[in-house]
Amino acid sequence: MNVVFIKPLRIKIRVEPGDIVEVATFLRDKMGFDHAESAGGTDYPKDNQIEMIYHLGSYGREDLAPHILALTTRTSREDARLPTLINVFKSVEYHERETFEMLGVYFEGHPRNDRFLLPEDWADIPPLRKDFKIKGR
Amino acid sequence: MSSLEDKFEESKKLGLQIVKESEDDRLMTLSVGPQHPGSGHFRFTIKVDGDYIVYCDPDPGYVHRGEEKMCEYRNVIQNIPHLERPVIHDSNNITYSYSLAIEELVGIEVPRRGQFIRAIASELNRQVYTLYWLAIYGIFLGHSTMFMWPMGDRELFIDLLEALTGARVTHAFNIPGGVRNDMPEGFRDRCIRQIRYFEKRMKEYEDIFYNNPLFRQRTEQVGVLSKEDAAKLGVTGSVLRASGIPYDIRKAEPYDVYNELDFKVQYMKTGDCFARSYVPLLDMRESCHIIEQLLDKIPQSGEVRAKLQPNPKGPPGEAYRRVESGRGALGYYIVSDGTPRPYRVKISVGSFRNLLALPYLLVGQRLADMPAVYWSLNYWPVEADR
Repeated sequence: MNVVFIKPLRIKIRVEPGDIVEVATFLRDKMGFDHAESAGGTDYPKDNQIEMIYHLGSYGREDLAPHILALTTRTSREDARLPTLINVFKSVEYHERETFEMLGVYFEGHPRNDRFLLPEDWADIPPLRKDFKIKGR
Repeated sequence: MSSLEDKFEESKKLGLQIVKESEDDRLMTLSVGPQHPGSGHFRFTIKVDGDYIVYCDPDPGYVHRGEEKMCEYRNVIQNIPHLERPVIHDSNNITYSYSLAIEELVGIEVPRRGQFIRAIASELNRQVYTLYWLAIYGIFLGHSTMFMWPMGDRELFIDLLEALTGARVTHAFNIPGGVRNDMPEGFRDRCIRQIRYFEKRMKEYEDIFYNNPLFRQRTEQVGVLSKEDAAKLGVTGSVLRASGIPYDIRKAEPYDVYNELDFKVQYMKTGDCFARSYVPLLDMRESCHIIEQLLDKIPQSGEVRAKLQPNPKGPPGEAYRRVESGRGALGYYIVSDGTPRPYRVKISVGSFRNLLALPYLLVGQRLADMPAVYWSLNYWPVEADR
């Protein structure tokens, strides 16, 4: 695990995909982060990686209310697979499903890696990958 | 002919949405929306056993526009007009947190008068949104007066915003560095006059709607979301505050001038549909106090926006900023690679987060309670789809 940056009210840490469930459980049980505000991915073709980022917040602890902890991990673009955090933070369910279709990251253990926002007949690569270009631009 | 099997085959040929459930047809599948008059651009499938809902599967995406992808093709200023499309009734709030994030990335200081005008515009816009929501909640529960009154009073705030920004609904008023133009002359007096009138109207709303025994019966003890479950599901905004968690971004992480204002976070403890519909009214009342304070404290003169370079850009980095919108926390996660165009924009909206509570609340309810539960979630389909 390494700390990417510490700014006022914002901390970003990066962990290995194998450790993310354990780290998330620790953050929930010992630190008091009880929900994910946002979760999404970013495509980095230069590194051949996709970064998954969870923005965790706390409703339970008043002193943590203004803080957002960004928990990130990276996976390769060819075989994009990550363990799901749904058993730790129920609130990531739809965000992970969205990331699956928008960036093509398969979440192992997630009950539904399927179509959510895109049209049912979508037959192209995941649109938020950088090699997907908007037609005509 | 007309065995169940045949009917099923026949319906498949016609392309009808009849799904075979079981031999005795005990469960029936219903598709609510996207043509349902109250569903918005949104569909969810429910299964009913008798008149109890036993299954619910939301199917959003009918108005997905790919806002996040579009952001990667435009510079930070060009992004503003299309970013307010997901929720045109609350367009000042959806561009507010975007501007905050860009200011953090580019390193812009907003002039003090600009910060105040921004806050006034976003509070007025929150009233516009909440009134629109309230009108639909009223008509959804069969109360036509509650449709007409908020729609009518909403015009007052739209007129105020028109005087302030020049546009009635999509204002494109917040920009990185401040607001687009200054307040017109006489705005303060007009604003105070409208707020006084609206405060009287809110009492009338309570008399005709919130204290109406029929409305109470339809909403009290219906669709109860406990405090623990609300935190676990990560809901936000009025849904969260109705379940007894007094969490409001304006208080939790004050932005711009909100730490200088005196206001309370309004919340209730019951967590039912009534609480979820009453908290927005309390919020509107609090908003009126906030606008009055803002109008009193605003510096009488000064710049309203910082000077910007033609193609504003900052060093590579990332920012996550959020504001309290009509539907709860509205956050932007923006990654910049040092070019004028954002590398990645992720919009975390209240509607998308509150959607998770829909299947959770609907299962076990009666079919007749479906409208009361669904619309109490303050769900805006267009915003959720982005």
